[in-house]
Amino acid sequence: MTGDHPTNLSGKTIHYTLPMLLRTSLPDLSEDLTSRALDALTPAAAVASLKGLGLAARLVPRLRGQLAGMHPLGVPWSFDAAILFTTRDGRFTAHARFARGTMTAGFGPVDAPDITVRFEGLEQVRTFFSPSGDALNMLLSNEMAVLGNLTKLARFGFLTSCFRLKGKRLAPPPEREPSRWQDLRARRAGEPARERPEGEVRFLDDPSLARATLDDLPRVKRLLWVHRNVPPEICTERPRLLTEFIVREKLAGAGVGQTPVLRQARALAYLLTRKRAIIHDDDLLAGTTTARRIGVVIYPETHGTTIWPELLTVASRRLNPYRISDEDVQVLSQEVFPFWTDDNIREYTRRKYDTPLSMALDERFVLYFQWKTAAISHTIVDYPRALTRGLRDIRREAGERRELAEREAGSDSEAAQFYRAFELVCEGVMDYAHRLAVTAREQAAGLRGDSPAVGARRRELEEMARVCDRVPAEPARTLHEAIQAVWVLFLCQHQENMNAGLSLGRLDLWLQPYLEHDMEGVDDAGERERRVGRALELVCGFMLKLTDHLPLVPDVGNRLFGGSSSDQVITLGGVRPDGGSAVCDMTWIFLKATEMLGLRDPNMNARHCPGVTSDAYLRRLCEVNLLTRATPSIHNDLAMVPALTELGFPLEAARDWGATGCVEPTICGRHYGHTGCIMFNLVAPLEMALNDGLHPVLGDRIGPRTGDPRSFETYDQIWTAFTAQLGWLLDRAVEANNMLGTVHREIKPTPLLSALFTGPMDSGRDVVDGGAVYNSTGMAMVGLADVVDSLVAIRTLVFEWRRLSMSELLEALAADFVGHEQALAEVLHRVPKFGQDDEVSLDVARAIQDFIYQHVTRQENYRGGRYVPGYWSMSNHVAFGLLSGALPSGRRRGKPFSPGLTPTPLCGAPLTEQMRTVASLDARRMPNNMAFNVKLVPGASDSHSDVVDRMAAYTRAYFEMGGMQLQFNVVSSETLRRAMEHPADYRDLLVRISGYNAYFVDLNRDMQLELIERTEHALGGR
Amino acid sequence: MTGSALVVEVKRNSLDDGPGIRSVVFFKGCPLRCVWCQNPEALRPAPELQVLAGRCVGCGGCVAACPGRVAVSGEPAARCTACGRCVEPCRAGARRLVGTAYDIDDLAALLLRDEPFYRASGGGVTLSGGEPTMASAVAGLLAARLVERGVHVLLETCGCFAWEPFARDLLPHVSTIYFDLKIADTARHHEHTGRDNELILRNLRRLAGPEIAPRLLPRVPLVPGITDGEESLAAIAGLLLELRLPRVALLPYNPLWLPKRRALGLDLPYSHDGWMTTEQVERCRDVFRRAGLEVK
Repeated sequence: MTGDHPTNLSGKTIHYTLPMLLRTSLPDLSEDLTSRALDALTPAAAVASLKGLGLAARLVPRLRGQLAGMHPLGVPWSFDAAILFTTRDGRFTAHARFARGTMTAGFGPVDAPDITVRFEGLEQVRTFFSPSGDALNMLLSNEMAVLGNLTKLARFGFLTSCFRLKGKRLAPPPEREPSRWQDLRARRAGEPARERPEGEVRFLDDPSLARATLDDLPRVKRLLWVHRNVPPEICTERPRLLTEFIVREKLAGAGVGQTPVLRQARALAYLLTRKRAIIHDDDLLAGTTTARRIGVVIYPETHGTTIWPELLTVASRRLNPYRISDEDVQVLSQEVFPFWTDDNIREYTRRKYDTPLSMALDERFVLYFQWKTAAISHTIVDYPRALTRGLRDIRREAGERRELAEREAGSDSEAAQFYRAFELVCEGVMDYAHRLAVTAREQAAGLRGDSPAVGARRRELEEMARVCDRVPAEPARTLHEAIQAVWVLFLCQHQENMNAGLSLGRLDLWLQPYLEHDMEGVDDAGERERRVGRALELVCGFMLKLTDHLPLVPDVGNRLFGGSSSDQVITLGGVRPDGGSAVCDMTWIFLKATEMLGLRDPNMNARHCPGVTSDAYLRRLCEVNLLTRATPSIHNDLAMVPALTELGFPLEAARDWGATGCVEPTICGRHYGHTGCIMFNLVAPLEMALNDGLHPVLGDRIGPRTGDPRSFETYDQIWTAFTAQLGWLLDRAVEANNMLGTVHREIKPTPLLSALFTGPMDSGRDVVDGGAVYNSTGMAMVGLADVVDSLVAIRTLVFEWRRLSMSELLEALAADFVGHEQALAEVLHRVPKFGQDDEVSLDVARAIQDFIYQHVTRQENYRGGRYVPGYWSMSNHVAFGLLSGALPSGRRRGKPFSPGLTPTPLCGAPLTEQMRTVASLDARRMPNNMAFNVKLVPGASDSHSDVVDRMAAYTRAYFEMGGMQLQFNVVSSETLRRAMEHPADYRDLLVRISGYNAYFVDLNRDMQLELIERTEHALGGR
Repeated sequence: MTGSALVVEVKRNSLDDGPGIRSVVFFKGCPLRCVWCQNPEALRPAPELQVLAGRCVGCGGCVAACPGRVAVSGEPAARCTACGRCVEPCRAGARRLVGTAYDIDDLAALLLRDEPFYRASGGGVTLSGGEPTMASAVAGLLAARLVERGVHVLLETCGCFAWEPFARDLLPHVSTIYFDLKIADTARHHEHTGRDNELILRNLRRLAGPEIAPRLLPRVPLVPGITDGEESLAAIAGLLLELRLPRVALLPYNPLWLPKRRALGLDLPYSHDGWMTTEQVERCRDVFRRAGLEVK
């Protein structure tokens, strides 16, 4: 998801700023005029349109109000920016300047532009300034490029949007047909388990809980209905409070001598003590991420301003619209965003490092994607520590350390401030929890009537108040207390850091002691079943709580990525640190909840350790995956644990890993690995190697000159050129991440995350400052199969069989194989492909993985950890593919790459061959994990139990051969096609992309097609 | 001891040719000429040239390479001798020489690559064809090599084989036998398969003894208009009852083989182009159920 690129610079909006000349007479003339005449007219028309906007901004108060204003607390702001428009050849230049509340425009350059919009030629200028111009499309197709302050450009986009829409909002799409919660149908349940695996189940008579259905849990059904039916809405509570805090700081002149950690802690405490304490109807768990029922959280200090140009239109956009009230548009555009134009992570980094090349490359979309511009939260805090100690005890320890530091180094010392920060955030969380208890009591007291239902709710609310009185301040005792504590701690972390990838760890293992407490001494079978049912209801309620918020995705995110929610991973099963099976009653309960709810998020990941965790458990994982179609994904501990010990983690720590964001491992609670920080396009360096450093789609020479491949005589020369480009680009990606990380350390440390971690209390350093016990940086390599197939094609066709010259190949690629059908046929049908259990392509794949591993693991990050590579792609395989040219593998221009480490759809090999190929790669070269997507289609006549057995058989064999991770989509292409045609009938159709789940109908068209084109493996006869 | 087998192809990841996940070895050569034969490329015990017409891009490589100057782009040539010289130059990979002589060691190694899948699923290797018993000696060698490694070996046979070499070389190494029974009537059998069924029935009787019978599954291909008549099926049911064989499997017709036959340049003696309906299949199953047989 996301895109922190504020690229909706709304060229499409600018057409209304055109003077009459272009809007009316030009189309009439165009039939007669030659393009040269058009070219002659274009500059004047463009400048006239800019001047028209300037004039309007002077005359129309509503627009003038966007150029300068005042925060309610009395701090003024104004829009100051210089924008340069130019063509690549420099023949056309124009500018717009904003200063002191006015806008001027004219021909020619401007001094020190904040933003440069560079068009490929005059034709693109015309498109940009025309009624049909779509800046986003132009940016993505590289008809234009943008250099400079993207936030200011976003702001310019909002101004033109206001002008075009005359202050009106586009109407939101019509309400969905009202449905009733009662009409929600329970999903098909699994079958009773064949056995109760010894040591893995204590209190459940049937580990599969086959008899329980959604119909037994009306409360859960109503909450699920909310998830499926309430449209998400932008919430301004957090950004408004945060901005208020910094404005107050400014007014008070506070903050001198204050460390960034303490400032952040004060800001968070300000937020937490003012955040509304909300309990919704039916809630068993108190507290909400936002003040909206399903809220989109805004983080203006990272990528929040990317939604600026869309404020008037986001409610009506086609994919994933958000509601937003008129008042909130006003709040964001007048009281929030103006204060973050220069002071967000991206712009601070640009300024600090003077527009570094590595960042400019990031902003071209196609080379790599830097998550730190938006989030640092791909990690897992130490929940067992918080649950067993309670926040009050953590605050006490911080207080003692602060006093010690004050005595030793003075009260303003960095150490004293650091521990003071811990105290403040703990107090903030406890204050919020306390106010939840107050709200619960108020609601209980406010209930009128004495019907049994009202009485029951009153008792529930009173119980919730008691629970919130206790946790998370004190140690949890019951399952209810433990889950409430986890929920409050989790939602509070989202007040500090973006809701992207922050994960929950091994909740089954960690919550089991509290279930055991609740079950102690219960001998009566009926009572036992009732308590298990209560546990299931709590878990369902918790999982639905996790759906109460969504990350902010600007429309470019929909176009490039899309459909993703927060990717909050819950990890089930696997081995305990001592090596025994971690599967327990809570594992089965979570699996039942997963099966019943079919949610895209939380992202369920399950660990299996052949020989330790039982076959019955593996079979149940497959069954839930079959019934939900797409979750959980399944990991092999026998591959992952050695990959982690190879990196130097002690064995017991390695066994305690939890998946984070998509699939990536974090040693729970003590390892800060920002496991999803760089999405890296492996195809880009190949394209650059084939063009002597020039990227053919970007049209610019990006990388070093590695020679004209037409002169190459051996495959080794191609390999050398490729690895030179790859190494160079990896270094740029690493450099950008280190810069961004350094900036996080300087302006956005994370006291709450750190207080909840193991490590920072002892080390006295924030997690973004290397305070955790373990440090690393996780990268994701996208497009390996496409690169392998391409290199194998070059090696065989050009150098070994000599059936194609390099020149011919390059011509074919430039022409997207049009007119080169014979070459294409040869590539498609003669050359071995990754996935065909073929040694040639495996050799190339291994060589690339070895190179990457050696190259990145020797680089140290800004926290003193190593970079670690993984092979999963989120949805970037579609995004990067969209922006890449034809490949020697036969993949056509703009088509998606294959997801994760999955063989491409051109491979065509049966599942056993594909599995053997993928499993043959060395897991130790993929310590940031991988994603292998397998699309299965059961036969019409296969029994449920046969299908589950087969899924389990494939998984067992794949794991035995060394396979690391596996994720099934159990759906036919035909069903997906029908869902494309009739989205309303398939609203809850769950699919797995590469690491995360999404509802199919929320995906952009390219992603939908990619899923349809994935190889379909039949799971049975007709 | 080693040897080589003429094999059409090895199909991995098969879920339709026996229990679990299997690999199927299609031997080349068959004594019968059933008009509906699903694997026409496996009939002749010699290499043949197969051309996938839809794939041809007209590069002309075949025409240039053909020593007999008979090759034609995109289609099988009438006077083709299957020398195979046109396979390599074909840029689209549209030409394939069907029938590769596999060294038994190589073949066993290839099949063992999926051994974890067999074990995990209760699957194994299926010897099919063509007719594996035409190469009983090498098929037996292969089966022995697989059984040694704990792999379940299943034989699919048309039943038309000389007993002695089969019983000596192959039978000891196969775990399960799928035995096809097409038509009980000898004359009709001859008409539609090119051979009478005396040998087949004699072999079936020999296998129906108490030692092999539990591992024997008679199968009846349902071919519309030929084998699916009530009378024909009832006759087979009667035969099975007589031999005290309690189970039978039915193989409903599928038309997927028609393009394969065209790709070999063969004419079509039988060209039913549809699938059987559920009702049609059920009607056939009923014939056996009424006779008291368990229908798989």
